[in-house]
Amino acid sequence: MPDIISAYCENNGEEEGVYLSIQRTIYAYGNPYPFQKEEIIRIRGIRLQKNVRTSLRLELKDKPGQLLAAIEPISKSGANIITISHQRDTKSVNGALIVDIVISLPETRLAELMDALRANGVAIVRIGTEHLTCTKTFILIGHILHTDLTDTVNRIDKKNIAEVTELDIVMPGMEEPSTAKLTIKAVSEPEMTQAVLTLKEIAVEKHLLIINQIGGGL
Amino acid sequence: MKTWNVALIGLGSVGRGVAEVLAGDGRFRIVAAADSKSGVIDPAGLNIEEVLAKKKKTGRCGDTAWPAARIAAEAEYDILVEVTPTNADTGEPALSIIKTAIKRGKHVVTSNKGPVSLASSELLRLAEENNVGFLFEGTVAGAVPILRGIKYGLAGNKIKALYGVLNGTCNYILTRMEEEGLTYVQALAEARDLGYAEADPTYDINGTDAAIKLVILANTMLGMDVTLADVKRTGISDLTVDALLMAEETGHSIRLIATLYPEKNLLEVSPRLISKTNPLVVAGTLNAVTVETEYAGAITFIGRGAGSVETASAILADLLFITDKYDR
Repeated sequence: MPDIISAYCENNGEEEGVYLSIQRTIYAYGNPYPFQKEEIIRIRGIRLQKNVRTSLRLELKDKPGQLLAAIEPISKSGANIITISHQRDTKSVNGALIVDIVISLPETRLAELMDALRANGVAIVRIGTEHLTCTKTFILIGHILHTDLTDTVNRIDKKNIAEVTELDIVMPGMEEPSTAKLTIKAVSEPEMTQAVLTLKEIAVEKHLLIINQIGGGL
Repeated sequence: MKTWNVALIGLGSVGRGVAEVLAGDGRFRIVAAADSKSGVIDPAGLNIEEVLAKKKKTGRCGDTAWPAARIAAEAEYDILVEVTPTNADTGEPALSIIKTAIKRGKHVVTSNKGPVSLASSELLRLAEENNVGFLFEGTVAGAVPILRGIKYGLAGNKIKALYGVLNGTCNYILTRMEEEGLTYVQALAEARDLGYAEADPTYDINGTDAAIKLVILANTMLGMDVTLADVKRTGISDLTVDALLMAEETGHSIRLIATLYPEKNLLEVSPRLISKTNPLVVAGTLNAVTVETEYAGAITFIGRGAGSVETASAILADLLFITDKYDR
């Protein structure tokens, strides 16, 4: 599943500016890009967002069509369904059916999906808690794409410990420095500190200016 | 009421501000004044308007036979007010002039960051040995009484952290980039046109000016022993408009923030993402300092960090502190 959920580009071959082939973008992040055919577009920026696994426990009324009421909004939201366990013999105290679903979708779309489920009359009993609870946002300025973005992200990512969950890049021109907003999530403070140290090392090595947040404790 | 005799070294923007402020104050009399090339003395009190007029016309305020160093060493005065431009590398010629005055048993008030950032412990020890005052409120955040605020207002509180917007030029540039979408280059040009940035703004934009102020705070108020080289510095010249736009999406600004953690011995000046609701996010050329204290919690000082009469306000406060504390 591609991590890129949107590239805000202007599809205009006449306009002056920076022209990148889509192939280059694929190469830049190392992830499949939704477009297959090669075309020249002017790319203003790329927004990358990782899918987050979320487990949901839903309560359905024991009558026909209810499972569809739950599945349809999930499918429409673009989420991947990882597993569904639908145990007919386990019922809640009020006699509703319990369905456990694990899905994968960008975190920012979760709230929208919850609303859609509720609108379909599905009760959400539990939402799997996100285990990466510590969040920090940074802004990076420099030649972010030219200096191997995949490497930058991979070095910070430690599965289930600390991850780059969001990356938004704006490129004013091919030779000009890009600006990126990067969000790191980690399980707790020490892991976050480690991820930030890694990011700072990368910034020195790749000549990127890193702007970090000043504490919320003020 | 005793009138205190003042020797005014430096007749630039701050010097003129001091002259203006003291003119209406019967407690002080300017008996000597010097610019970078010459000096003038009148034990009965100088007509400072005439002195400034002469400087404007001829480029010199007085006689080249009486340069600042000689006035400091030989003229009769009670307090030396030293307001020449900062030399961050050696502190000279101000450093020697201040030492000369203190060794003669004269009080010294300065707004010059060079000598204070390079030699505050030596100068304070010298002042104590000679039983005179050595005060420098105007060196950090201009009119804002941050030094006296920490030393007396927050006396007894351990300072856990200090965060400051200490450079009005950078704050102005960043405010304009954020509000008007100007590029760094455009905002800097505007700051120059308005007189908020010097012809060579390098020390402002690369964080050195803020770092020097941080060193003064660390050494004179927080009992540390650091130099400019101990401050990690990142300037604002590489910031893009996109960075400010991205910050804005999540309710943040980007400001050049000086941070100081005394226990970790950490000093840094760098552009930081900061919530717009944080009191340090001040507009234009304003300065702001937040001090995190043991008992009082966080306290923020905000005000004008530069300017002629604004800096003179800090100098006047220092002068009155001296006249209050000392008999001569």
